[in-house]
Amino acid sequence: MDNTAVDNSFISKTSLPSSICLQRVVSPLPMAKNDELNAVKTSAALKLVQQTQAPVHRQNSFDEDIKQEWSGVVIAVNNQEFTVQLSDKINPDNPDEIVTLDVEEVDPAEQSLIKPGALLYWHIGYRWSSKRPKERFSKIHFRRLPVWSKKELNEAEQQAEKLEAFFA
Amino acid sequence: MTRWQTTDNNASIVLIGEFTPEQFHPMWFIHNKIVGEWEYMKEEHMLLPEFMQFDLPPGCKTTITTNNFSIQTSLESDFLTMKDIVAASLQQCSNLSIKQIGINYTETLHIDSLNDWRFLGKQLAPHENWQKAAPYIANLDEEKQLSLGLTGLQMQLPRQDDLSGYIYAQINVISPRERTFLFNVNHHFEIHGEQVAKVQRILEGHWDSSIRSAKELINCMMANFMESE
Repeated sequence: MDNTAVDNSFISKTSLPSSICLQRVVSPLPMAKNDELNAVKTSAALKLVQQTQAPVHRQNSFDEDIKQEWSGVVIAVNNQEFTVQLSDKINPDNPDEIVTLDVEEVDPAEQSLIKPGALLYWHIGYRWSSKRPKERFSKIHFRRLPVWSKKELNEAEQQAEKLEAFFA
Repeated sequence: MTRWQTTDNNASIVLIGEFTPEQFHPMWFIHNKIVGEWEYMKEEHMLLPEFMQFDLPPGCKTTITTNNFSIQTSLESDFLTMKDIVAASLQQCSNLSIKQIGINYTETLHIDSLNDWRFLGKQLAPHENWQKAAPYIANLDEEKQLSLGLTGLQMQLPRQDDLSGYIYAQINVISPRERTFLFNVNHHFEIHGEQVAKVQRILEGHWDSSIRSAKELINCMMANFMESE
């Protein structure tokens, strides 16, 4: 990290594997499509690492600093409010908290998901960008968890019947 | 005030196996209630039979090829949602063949001073051996001599748990002039047998710890190197 005099000229196509990573920064294509990657596939370790690393995309025009993160479950819904039991994900030793929130805290596209038993994440922190000053934000996101298939429900039911018969 | 700053971070999940990219059309994610309905702009997407790339809400860059499924977000408040998208997708595709999974966390770091930048590089990759191996460097002008330096480094760390795989830490310089580099930590798992179920268990059981340990590793490495000066 001493090469202060060369700027980006070190992105040599003959330099592996660092050039691969740097190309990932500017290329939206996955590394597996990169011809240069094929050249280093003789190294098993490199192959493993690079295959499960993702290409780097710069997606957002702002940055975040998360100060608090909870996972929660909706325990009651009343008109414009809903009550949530929250578990602190940053400090898991903290006791659970029960809070009541306004439905308007939730994005309109997700308000239909507010039902007893629904799971959510709640983040509080700061966000900023080069064009916007630092601001506090609160984001509630309802989880869309895998739906149990009929087959899985049948299997669970059969398993329950077996256990019931065993303990009867 | 630390002598380095994290200017950006992102997390990603990469699955290696056999995929049918055209199956994972944005509408597939909506139809299976993995994401909510959204007005996706088709012109921003690449939807080809063997290559699909699109942004899933809330902001997850998703790329699927015949051997790779990767999803990435650079908003920390979306990390868990991204994990849920992968878990829900796997639930719909229980017969997928998956050989490896990577949980990645990457920070873009900026070093404040040139002295610290040089010091860190020399700590990570001492110059002496390179200068001995390439003695002509000593005869070059000062500007050329300064171009000797680390541009990339990769370390393999053993896993703490009994799962098959490693932790890979990788450093890659983005801009020497701006003194910025990427520090990536790749929790790499090899999958044997009952593939989808195992990947789901890894995601549920190791997501938080993988991201947390990656952050700690980056922070500890930076603190150790900078404090050793």
